[in-house]
Amino acid sequence: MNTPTPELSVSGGWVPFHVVRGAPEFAVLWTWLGAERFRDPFFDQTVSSAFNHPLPLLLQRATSLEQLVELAERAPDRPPSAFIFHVSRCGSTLVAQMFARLERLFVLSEARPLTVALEDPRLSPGDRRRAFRALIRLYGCAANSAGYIVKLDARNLLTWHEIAEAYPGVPRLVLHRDPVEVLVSNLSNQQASLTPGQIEPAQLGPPPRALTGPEDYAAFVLSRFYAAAVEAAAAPCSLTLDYRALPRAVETLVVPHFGLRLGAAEVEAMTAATGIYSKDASRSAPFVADSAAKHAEADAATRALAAEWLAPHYGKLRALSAAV
Amino acid sequence: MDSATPHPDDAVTPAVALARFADLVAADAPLRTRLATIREHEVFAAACVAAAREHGLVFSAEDLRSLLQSRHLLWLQRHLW
Repeated sequence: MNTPTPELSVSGGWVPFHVVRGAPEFAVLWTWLGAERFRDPFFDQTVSSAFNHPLPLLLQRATSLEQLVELAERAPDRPPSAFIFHVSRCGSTLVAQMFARLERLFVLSEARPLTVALEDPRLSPGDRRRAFRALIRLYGCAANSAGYIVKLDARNLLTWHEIAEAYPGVPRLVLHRDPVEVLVSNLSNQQASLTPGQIEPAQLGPPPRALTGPEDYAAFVLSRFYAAAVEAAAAPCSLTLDYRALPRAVETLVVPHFGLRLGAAEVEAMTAATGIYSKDASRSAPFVADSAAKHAEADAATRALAAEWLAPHYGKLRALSAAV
Repeated sequence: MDSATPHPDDAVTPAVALARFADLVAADAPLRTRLATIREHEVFAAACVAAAREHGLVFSAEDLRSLLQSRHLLWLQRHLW
């Protein structure tokens, strides 16, 4: 990979897209996306789409932490308008895509470099925060919009406190959902974070009993997300919502919590997003409510896992949730 | 080759020539804009090889394809590294 040169800047179309984990030193890879905007439901979808073209594959650079911070300091320091936390499979992508319909807003959705920076064992806690803040600042500058919202990965709940310390006062939305529905969704189409080895054991802490298999492990990891969500929900600057309050509560509660005022056309644009399956990059698949189907799909073992690992936290989250 | 044409440096390996060419493209907005419009990899490789030669940098279309393929593969395996 080439060494950094002065033309490496987000205003020039360069974006950090990957943090290399398997090297002795922290290294961030950049690619040139030109005027490409992150409009897809997920950060990775935009990068994958860009890499179908040859030029972004040719134009790649690597920077150290110090170079990353130095480049970030050249960019305007605009904190995010809000952070979206979630326990996974609970409507966070729908909310993100509703805000992404607003021309004046940019939504950064589950950018993996942020996760690696927040958890990187090669960095001190202080340097993790520097890396996280530098990346956020660069993405915020790349957004080139009036404001931007950062939708985090579910596992970022485990470091919610570090994020809150890095950006005190920035509003947070904490989303959650019925445990059976979340567990059924994750067991049928598992996110990488629920696979053993994807999250450092030290970050999860020891399980209270021996784990019996992959499903048990997945439920244990989700319980850590739920437990952290309870902490985040109880903190100042947080608005907590159940999946069942969506999408109605977005306009009535989330928009004012994020400090936004919408015109009629913007409300209409946001509402249009609610009829589309939010994770579909083509934006053509219709949304289908699936809560009842997920409960019907849940077998006795899944219900037992949800009751043991998640239900106690869910009860607390329900109590902390805004009334709709 | 006339006197105005840079002479390829035989001592420069294709990998180094590719890296220098990438630097050149990064710094040259018109060239970058032209290459950004090319989506077909074969056409892109041919355009790059020709543009690089104009600057005395020599690598083959296969050298470039190999680099791009390896980077695409690394992206597909991003959860592993």
